[in-house]
Amino acid sequence: MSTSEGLLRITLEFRGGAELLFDNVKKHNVKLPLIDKTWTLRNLLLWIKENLLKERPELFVQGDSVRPGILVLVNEADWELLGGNDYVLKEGDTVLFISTLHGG
Amino acid sequence: MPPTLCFRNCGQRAVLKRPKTGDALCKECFFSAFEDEVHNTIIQGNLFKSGQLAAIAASGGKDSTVLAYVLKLLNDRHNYGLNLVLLSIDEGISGYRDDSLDTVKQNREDYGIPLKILSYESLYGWSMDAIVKQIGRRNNCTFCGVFRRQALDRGAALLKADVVVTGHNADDIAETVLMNVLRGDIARLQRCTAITTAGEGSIPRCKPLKYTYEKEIVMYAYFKRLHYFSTECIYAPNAYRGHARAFLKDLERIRPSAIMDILHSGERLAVREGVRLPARGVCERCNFVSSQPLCKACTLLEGLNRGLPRLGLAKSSKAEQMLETKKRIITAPDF
Amino acid sequence: MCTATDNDYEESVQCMEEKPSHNLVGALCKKCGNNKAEVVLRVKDTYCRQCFIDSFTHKFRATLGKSKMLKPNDKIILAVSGSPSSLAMLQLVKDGIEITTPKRLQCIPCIVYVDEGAVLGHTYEQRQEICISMAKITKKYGIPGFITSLDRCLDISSSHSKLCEELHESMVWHVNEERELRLQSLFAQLKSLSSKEDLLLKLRHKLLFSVAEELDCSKIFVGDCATDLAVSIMANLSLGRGAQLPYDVGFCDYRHGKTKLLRPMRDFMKKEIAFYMVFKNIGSVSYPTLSSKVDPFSSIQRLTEKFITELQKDFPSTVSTIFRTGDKLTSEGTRNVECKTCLLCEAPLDTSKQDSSSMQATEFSQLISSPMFADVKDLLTHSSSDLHSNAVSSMGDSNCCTSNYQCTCISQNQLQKLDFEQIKENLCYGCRLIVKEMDSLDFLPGDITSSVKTEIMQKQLRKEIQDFLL
Repeated sequence: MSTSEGLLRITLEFRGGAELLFDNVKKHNVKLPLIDKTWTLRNLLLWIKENLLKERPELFVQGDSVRPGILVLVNEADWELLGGNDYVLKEGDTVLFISTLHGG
Repeated sequence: MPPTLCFRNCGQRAVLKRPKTGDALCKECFFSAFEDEVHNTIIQGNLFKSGQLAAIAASGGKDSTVLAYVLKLLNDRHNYGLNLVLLSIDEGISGYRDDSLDTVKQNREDYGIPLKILSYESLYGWSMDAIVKQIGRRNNCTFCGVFRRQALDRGAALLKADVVVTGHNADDIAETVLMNVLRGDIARLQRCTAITTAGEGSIPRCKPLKYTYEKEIVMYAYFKRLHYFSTECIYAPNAYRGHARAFLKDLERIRPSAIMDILHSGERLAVREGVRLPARGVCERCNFVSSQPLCKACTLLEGLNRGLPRLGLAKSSKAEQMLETKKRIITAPDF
Repeated sequence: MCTATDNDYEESVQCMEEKPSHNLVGALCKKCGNNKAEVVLRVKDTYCRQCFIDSFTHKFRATLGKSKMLKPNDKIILAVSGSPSSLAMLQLVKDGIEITTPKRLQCIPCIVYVDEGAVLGHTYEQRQEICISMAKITKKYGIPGFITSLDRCLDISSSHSKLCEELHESMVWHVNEERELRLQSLFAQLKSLSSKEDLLLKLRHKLLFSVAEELDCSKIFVGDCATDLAVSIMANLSLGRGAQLPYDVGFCDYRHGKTKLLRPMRDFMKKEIAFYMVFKNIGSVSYPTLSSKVDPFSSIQRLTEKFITELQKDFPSTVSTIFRTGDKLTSEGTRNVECKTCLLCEAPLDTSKQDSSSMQATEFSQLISSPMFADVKDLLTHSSSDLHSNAVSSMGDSNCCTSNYQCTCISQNQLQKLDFEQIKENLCYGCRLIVKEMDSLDFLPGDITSSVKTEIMQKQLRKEIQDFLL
């Protein structure tokens, strides 16, 4: 691992109104603890729900995935090309969530 | 808190809030409003002529039970001069249809309306149980639906009925409007809101409960203590329609008039000129209305009888392919 | 019971096919076959960045070209709200007019931003900020930009002041407090979010058409994309606007005659637009709307969006199937040129009397479960002996002073206050549902109320002099 303190550093971005659920902050630099697990997008979503989401979690997460209508891009590429929920995050990744739903 | 009084100012205590209008009514006023509305639908839609024989499609479910009851009542009350007969189709689904047929038989006793039962077995040589054994659970609703539609026509012809009356309610029709848009079925979208459908050569069908809410039908049956059969068919219905149903129920929750609003939308839709609609002809085998040389029921039946049950389910080009392949297999030399 | 109905069975259509699973990890672009794919469309079509942008641009020009609607040097309004779709449209138009090949878009565009802040509950600072963002966009693209605000639709005909003003970066946005209060009162009366959303859209379009006139533009481009339109089709059906679908979702909304509203983004899915914005590095201007952070069950439009989006996830051709269905429809009004139009949305009226109709049935239901039931019942009993007489068909007719129901006859001094019954005949079915929720009609746009008052006055006068007319 390239990380010094057992942390995974990634950037999260929210657009298209999704930022409204995160105190209107569009960009978040986060550090994820690397304790005996790999960080998949699925795990990340759970982490976001627990740690970052300010309100109305049902408007962002549905089941173990994002709510239909929210697009996910990793380093500006479609997550469908990366295995979707099973993609394993790497140091420095940028994960972008774009809501295509009306009003975010 | 003083009891809510009936909105019709009859002095009685209200016992229910009408799902359709939101008005609080007493039991008697609800009955009278419900019945008058069906009567209004019948008069406005010119559904019957005096002296006609009307076959009520009776399944034993809530819609057809209420339909039979109300039609009998209105026929007596307003002297429609109709001769009524119950027509039931026995799809041959054990544990489901045999029980619901008992309900229909009870209706015959209770309302004094004669009953005719026709089975898939006798009409097509196949019961639904036998069909499911052959094709499995997928698509079985397609067989059942196509066969039932024709079975009703055949039964009505057998009875020499002038008109077939079905229990489709406002929710059913609103849902069908939505389904036809979701499926892109422009021809059906255009005709699904018609109160009477008249096909060439076949007996007209009408829907006196077209503007009646499903919730009110249940309420009416409940307060009138009408017996109906409410078990789900053991062969599950298709998932896509399930979505549309749930959507409609949610819409109704947001705005109760949504059901009538969808009906209004459906009634005022028109297909653009130049859009190709399937021509309606007759089936060369059974003479029933069909857009193809062979109607859906005959195609499905052909498939069953020839051991190609998926035949009628595929698009027509694919169906031809399947027949070709089958021919080749049959004619291939036996090594 | 069997919950399926009659028409369910034939031709299982493609939209009911469930999404197949494909392994696309590490896939190459299907178009150039060279580069690593970065986006997937239609379940399995993979594109690299450049091929995606090329085909996106091509599709936009094809949509416009195919329509043959654009004439050289047409002046057009680009209605830019700041949404991804509207900004993508701006970029495409800009690229289109700048190329030098014969494919060049020959039109003269300007940007119009409609400030809806008063209705959306924005603070003044927020509105000023959005206004400046729009001015910056205008400058960046080098296309003249204008700002107008929704309250101006309240007195379009009476005001001699301009409807819009030019956007520039150092501008201070002024609001007309009196008029905004009226606008807010208008919306505050609406009990449902469904009606608020619907009214907002109708007023926005009403204003845009007037602005087009002021700026001498013959076309208005709006950013509605395929996903939006599929949702609109289903939602509008549920809002009783089926008859108007060709105007509300078609490529060209021709209800105004000479000024036309076009939807050049209609062939794009939301996903395509989102990726275009990322690949072209265009940021959108986002702000809270009426439906931000609300429960999906709070309005017909939001519920429909949830329904379609979820269905689309499992059945990927849902949107395109709905969209194509909508394209095959027409409106009663196109056949009948004489058709009266709705005062609020200006679509042809869809409320002509028909013997058996949902409208008649609803009116009947309302009367039969009200204290007026006895009157209706009388009519029914009289007609009952003869199945062919349609004696009840006159029911619910608001023929002034001739029916037993609430008399709507008014004398001139009562004309100050309008009520729903008076305006009803001038509204389409869908707009009636909105206006019915209002306690007072005084806040409606002035041209609407004055037109109803004039009509009533005329009827009244005619009645007074009727005996002397030859």
